Amino acid sequence: MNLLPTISSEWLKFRSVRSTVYTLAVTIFLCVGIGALACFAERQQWPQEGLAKRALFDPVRQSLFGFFFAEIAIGVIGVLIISSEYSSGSIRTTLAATPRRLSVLLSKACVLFASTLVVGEASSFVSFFIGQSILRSTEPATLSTPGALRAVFLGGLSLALLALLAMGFATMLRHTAGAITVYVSVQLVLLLIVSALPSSWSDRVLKYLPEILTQSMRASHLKGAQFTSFSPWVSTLVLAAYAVAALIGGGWLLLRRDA
Amino acid sequence: MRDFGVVIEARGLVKRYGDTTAVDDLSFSVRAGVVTGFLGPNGSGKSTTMRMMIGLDHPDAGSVTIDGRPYGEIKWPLREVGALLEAKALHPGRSARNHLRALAASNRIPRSRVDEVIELVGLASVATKRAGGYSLGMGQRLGIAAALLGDPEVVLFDEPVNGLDPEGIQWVRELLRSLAEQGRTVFVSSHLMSEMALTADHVIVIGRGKLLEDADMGVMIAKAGTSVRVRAPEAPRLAAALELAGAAAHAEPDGSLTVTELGAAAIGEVAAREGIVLHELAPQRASLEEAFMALTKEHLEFGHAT
Repeated sequence: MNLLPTISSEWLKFRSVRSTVYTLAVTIFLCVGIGALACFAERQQWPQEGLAKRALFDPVRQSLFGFFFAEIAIGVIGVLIISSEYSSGSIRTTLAATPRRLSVLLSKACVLFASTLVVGEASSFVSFFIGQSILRSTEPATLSTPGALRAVFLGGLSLALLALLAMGFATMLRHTAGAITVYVSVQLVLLLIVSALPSSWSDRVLKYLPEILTQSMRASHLKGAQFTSFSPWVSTLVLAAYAVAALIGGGWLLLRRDA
Repeated sequence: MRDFGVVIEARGLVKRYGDTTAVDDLSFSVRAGVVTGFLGPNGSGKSTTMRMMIGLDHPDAGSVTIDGRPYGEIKWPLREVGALLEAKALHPGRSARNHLRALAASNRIPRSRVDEVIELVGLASVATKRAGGYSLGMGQRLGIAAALLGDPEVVLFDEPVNGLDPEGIQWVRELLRSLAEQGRTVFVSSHLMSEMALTADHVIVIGRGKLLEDADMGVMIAKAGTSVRVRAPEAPRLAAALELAGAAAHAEPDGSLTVTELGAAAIGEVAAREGIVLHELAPQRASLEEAFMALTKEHLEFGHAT
């Protein structure tokens, strides 16, 4: 199976639509801008912080605070890469050109993963460096600080994995608004609901939620975490498993359904 | 008429949506070198059949092959089969050129071919504009450009003249004819018999998903039959005399008679024998449209109560 022609076709489609470019730009802006804002606020707060709070402070995670918002934008990109084909009807043109449907899905996933990984890593590193320079009067991190490089790298990767998860939802639902709703529900609403549960329950469930997984991924240490969570690497694997599961579900339906 | 043999073969195609059977045990074949019209009222299963031909919909039973194999097994399908299924099946934010370039890339078709087909369908002036702003006719031209992109030997057009202006309609007719003259297989659907009469050499007529007719255009025209319009002051007496002579006479609201089963000469002889004055004796050629309507009448999904 030669995927290259399909990938080059999907790449051309991905970059020839303005909404993709805008949304990727918004993602970077949210990461860097809100991260810088969070670091600035922390710098103002720092002289009043007690020693205990200072010991728990994670400057890396602070500089990646904007990811919480960027996750929504990246999810929209993941949804649109496939749902826009259904809303416009172009999915038929696409599948007529490439009847091997899994090739189409795989090629879209490759294009999406590669481009959101580049954007995610760029956002992550830029947010990190700008954030640390704002935090220089506190206890900033460098890339050689234990866990810092891992957190910055996994932060970027988390966006790419979330994009794939959103694409999996959209492949199953074939509907832009529906897929975005499900994605946002999983990201935020579920978090709110589970947080409201008695702590004996929520402690067991929370660590499985995508948002808690990504928080763990972009932390250089977990000393200040509010919930029990998986280690950053385990969190990465769990999130990747979600993304793969959603894509397998989407692929299964794509093969069976009429286009 | 040239004939290069059977290229598309549909055998026992069935497609159901819940309780509705959209395509019901449909078998037909399509030959190269001629324009084959695929005719049926709206909702008769034409588009569903065409989607099954290119692997978009899965048949519940039966199969359809192109050059002996299912569409899904063709390595570079756009180079062998060009399909126009619905106008504007493309992202509104993408330009015509980028749309075609992406399609070309997926089937390893050289980029230079993109500008060729854009030129061919007359979209050169808007090729870099976003497709969302295209008119229905421009979308249709872009769909035709996409179908011709891989210079395919087989073309499947679903209602290609929809949304086109008279000039565009003329252009599509000539395109279909010239593709067939080059020996290609041309399969084109329409709900208008009159449109098919102008382009098709062969027609396959379906109604409610069932095959109603599969014949050469000439046979269809002959089958449409003829009738004779007769005007006479003593119409009822003439009608009785004609029926005795074996004709069927039908009284029209304007007082004339429509006579079938008997030619104009024979009608004149009957009238002379009976001493009936005739004011008009005019052979009528039933239009193909009427023949088609009669054929599909009982199969009409959305018939009018007229």
